[in-house]
Amino acid sequence: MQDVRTTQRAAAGQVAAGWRTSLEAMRGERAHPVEAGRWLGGPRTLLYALGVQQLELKLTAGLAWLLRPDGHHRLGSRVLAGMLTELGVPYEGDELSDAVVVVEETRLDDAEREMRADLVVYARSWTVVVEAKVHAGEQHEQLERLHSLWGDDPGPFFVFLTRGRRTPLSAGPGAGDWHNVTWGRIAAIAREATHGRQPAPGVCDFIETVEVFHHD
Amino acid sequence: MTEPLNRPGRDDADAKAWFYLDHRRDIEEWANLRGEGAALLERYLYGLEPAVQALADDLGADVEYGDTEAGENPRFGLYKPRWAHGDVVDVVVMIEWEAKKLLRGTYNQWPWVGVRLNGSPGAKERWDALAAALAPARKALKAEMHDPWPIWRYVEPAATAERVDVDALGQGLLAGLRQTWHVTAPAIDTALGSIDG
Repeated sequence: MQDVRTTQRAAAGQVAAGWRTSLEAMRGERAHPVEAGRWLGGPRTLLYALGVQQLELKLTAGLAWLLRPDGHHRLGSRVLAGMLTELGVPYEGDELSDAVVVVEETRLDDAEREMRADLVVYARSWTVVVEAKVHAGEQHEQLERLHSLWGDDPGPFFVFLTRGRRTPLSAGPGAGDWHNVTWGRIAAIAREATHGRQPAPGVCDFIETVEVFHHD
Repeated sequence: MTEPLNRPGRDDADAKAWFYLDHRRDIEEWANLRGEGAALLERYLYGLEPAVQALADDLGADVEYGDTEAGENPRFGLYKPRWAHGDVVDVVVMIEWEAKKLLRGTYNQWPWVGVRLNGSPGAKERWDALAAALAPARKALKAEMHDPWPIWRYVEPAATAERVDVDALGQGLLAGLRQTWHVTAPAIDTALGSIDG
């Protein structure tokens, strides 16, 4: 019996000695980020702290805020111009400042069924219609119906905004008119628009939230 | 004069307890990083969605989502339109996790793959049919059954792994989803076909 106890004590002592070594190694790993001010915790961004980082409507509203040329983001029409360039939309300079951004616009189809576009940007010679997805599939004929309802507006461009590249499934015969743009690409466009500017703090938080949670 | 304390000696048999008392501050600080780690792991899990989309394209399946905004039991996975019950997509082969339990050291600390049957009219009959039809698959995949999952199993790091390799875990989930699809989809076809005609 005495031998068993001695063996058990020795084993416990060895385990603790191993832990002591690990502890020292872990302290060493921690030291550098602490010194560099990178030993940070909690939600990565304010939008994450508010619990909206995965919410499609909230993120789309954030994008709409950035696209508005006279918005308090202090980037002017840079984000809008960047998105139009991404889409290959030909535009004239004065059209940007006059562009109107509308979120969650509803129209009725011939059968009096409501159809909602997540985001629409109107200008004199072009219209950009955005169907945004975060964690959702497409509804039956969703993109086809959007195309039908906004297809007669001036110079329509249809954007399927997704996490990572995604092939639209509900676009029907107009599938070729839909441009797949990723949230990650939107973040890059917005990030580019901030260069040399002093944007409102919310801009950086929105961009970082998209970069962290919805990168390509 | 202070009396000497009658404290236990530094006996090797108490080595673990002494280690905790000696290093409590570090140990507790690091243990409290569990929530940070879980949040990071969850970001990786959400990041699997494009790969699931690609898998759906590869397998000719559609993608269904659940709870991805409310966050209690986020999930996404694959289904065939003909499995739908009327307009309701209720049977999905999916990746799922319980956000508040990740890495917590108890049940559901790891994500799982399986087949979920969401509640819908006629769910009892569909549950019974799926539970019976998926019995061979449960055996083949060493999986379990628990309402609303007629088949499910955790995907977790190897018991001997010291670190949580999120890339390996993600690959394991995607491989598990693909495997579960291949093993269960024919049985689901048959089970639901026998009900819906």
